[in-house]
Amino acid sequence: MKLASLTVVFGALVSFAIGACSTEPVALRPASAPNVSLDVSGASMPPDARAVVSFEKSPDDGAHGLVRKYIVVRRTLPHPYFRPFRYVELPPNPAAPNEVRVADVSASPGGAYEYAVWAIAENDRTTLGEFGAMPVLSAPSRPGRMPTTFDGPRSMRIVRTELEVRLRSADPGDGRTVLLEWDPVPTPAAHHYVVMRSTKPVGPWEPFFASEVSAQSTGASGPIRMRTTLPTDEKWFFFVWIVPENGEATHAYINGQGVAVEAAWLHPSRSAVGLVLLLTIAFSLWFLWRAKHGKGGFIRRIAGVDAIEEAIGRATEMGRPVLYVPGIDEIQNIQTIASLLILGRVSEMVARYDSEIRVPCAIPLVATVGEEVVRQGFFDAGRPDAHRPQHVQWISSEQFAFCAGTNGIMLRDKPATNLFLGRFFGESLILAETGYVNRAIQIAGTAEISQLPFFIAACDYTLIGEELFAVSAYMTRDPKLLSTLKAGDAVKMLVLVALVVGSVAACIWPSAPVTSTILSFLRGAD
Amino acid sequence: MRIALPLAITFLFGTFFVAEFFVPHAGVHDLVALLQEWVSILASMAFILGGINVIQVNLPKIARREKDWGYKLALVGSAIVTAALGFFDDGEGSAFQFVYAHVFAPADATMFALLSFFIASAAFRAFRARNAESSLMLISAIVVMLAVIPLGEWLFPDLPLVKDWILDYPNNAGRRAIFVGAALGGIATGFRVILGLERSHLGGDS
Repeated sequence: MKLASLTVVFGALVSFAIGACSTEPVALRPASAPNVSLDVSGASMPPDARAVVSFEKSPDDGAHGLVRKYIVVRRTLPHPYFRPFRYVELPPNPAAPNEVRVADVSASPGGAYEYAVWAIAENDRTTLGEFGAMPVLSAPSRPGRMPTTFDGPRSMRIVRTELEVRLRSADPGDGRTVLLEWDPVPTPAAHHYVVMRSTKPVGPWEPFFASEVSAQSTGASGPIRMRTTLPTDEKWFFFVWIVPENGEATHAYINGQGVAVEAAWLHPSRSAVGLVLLLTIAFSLWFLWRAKHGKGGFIRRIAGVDAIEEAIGRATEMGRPVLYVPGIDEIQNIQTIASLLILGRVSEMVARYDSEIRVPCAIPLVATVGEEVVRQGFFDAGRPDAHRPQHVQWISSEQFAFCAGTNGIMLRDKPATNLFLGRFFGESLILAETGYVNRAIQIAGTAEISQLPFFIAACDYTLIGEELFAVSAYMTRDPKLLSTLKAGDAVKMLVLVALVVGSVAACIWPSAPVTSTILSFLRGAD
Repeated sequence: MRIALPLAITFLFGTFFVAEFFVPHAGVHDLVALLQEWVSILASMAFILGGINVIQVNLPKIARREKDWGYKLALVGSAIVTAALGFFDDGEGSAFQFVYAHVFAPADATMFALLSFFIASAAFRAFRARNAESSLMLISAIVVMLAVIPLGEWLFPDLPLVKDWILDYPNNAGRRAIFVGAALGGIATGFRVILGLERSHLGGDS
């Protein structure tokens, strides 16, 4: 088993190292770029088109609903920057053709242009865009007479108007999530806003698109808002294009001042939780000081905990093992941790009584830690030879497979005492009822409220909520551990007083400033 | 060192994660995300240990032909076959998918279906009018159970209102009280573990 443990630790260290080395910086991730080709030959082109940009959908298109939007951009040589001139949104239709053709009708004859296609990905929250740009294709547009009518303007009209982008740090002030807000621009037939950002006022620009900001027409009222996460902590500038639906971008606005957000180091809306935490710590230290000076406090009897030793004694007399189920949740859950703390005490008791213990686990890590805890319990009782590692076993991580396996242990080994302590879900009643069939004495404890009624109905003793966390301290009667129990009780009394005072104040003086201040503090509102 | 190092790690990381809850700075959250990835890596590596555990516990019993060794043979055999299928024949329409859809899923549903019968037997035992409190529980249970079925509403049109009141006020009050107590108990337990006052989960209690 030690070799297996070393193997796991080595493998974990290698994985950590690989993961640490390959961590990518937080930035836009290019989606798989579409295949782009340019047709200026005239074949199968609309009569007024100067060039046709055709591209195949990105390989990421349709994958997890990622890529749906494409922006065809164009650069007039030798201008350094691309500008969007077509926005294409594809419907989520797997039967749609793979190739998309976009006609450029506004290129000047004989001009030199470069084209690229940005594939814009969206996550469910549509706050970040990911793009990929193909290497540009350079081709002069087809010479010929300029048609007299156009679908759109002949060239891009850049309005270098300062766009008042109002920015505020979004809750919770992490320094990256910002809310952008600007008033709608009065342009006719505006359909989409393409928002780009850059760390420099002149670019290069990264496009990102928020579908919540589907532009309304000039009749829209109210500001346009979008929420985005900035990848770094520096100042960012925003460039907003207004693009008609499947049309050419007609206007562009730039935020010339740039915006930056400062990160906060304290979450003001969680002050109430912090206060409770500080009070618990303060009371723990005070009760510990009192215990060291011989002023121990009263701890009420918990029948379920007192019954544990009696139940283990019963199992010893009947010559049957004790079954201990530490719940089915991960080891990082506080109920599982509490259960493992109790397991240490219980296994020591089992060893002293010269009985056997069975510990079926649903999580391999819990089984690994549990085996070590049981081993130490037997060692502390002076019976290391009596420990059987195979009695602590991993059954399955699947909920009902674990339940079936544990039921099998109960029906075959027929434990006289069942201890169900930890976090349980739907399998709780199946386990408890199977134990009842065996006429075992059953003690359950969980903070999972939905399962408490089942345990109360089927078990002899049930530890409800906080009693589960009190067991390990209660069993040892160690003053250091009992002080935290008393601290919890003291904070509970304060919570009760706050409840009564707050309820009375909310009923009698609902509009008083003091009442609303206290209530918003307790609720954690901004 | 065997105890001191784990205690030091517990204290450092425990304190960090408590503090992280109150710090919205993105850099701290990036670090938390990285640490959570490490936890996932460690947990998935522990599955290797779990597999070894299954073999170590069951193979000797099969070899010694202990009681019910046939079930253990079925367990080990099906585990090996399923793992092999997962490695070599996974994907849409594969044998692995077949095993999942036609063996595991029905078995899982069967176990879940047992709950309804167990609820009935547990309710039959639990809902007895032994004293005032249990009588109150019995009456409340009858009211709530009747109110959620169409027959109850047909018999007593106002019964759903009574049910809603029971669930919204006394039931909710009790639930919230348990929530508060459990939350404070969790804080106290975490405090004890972080400070090293409780050490039995480390396997050493010196």
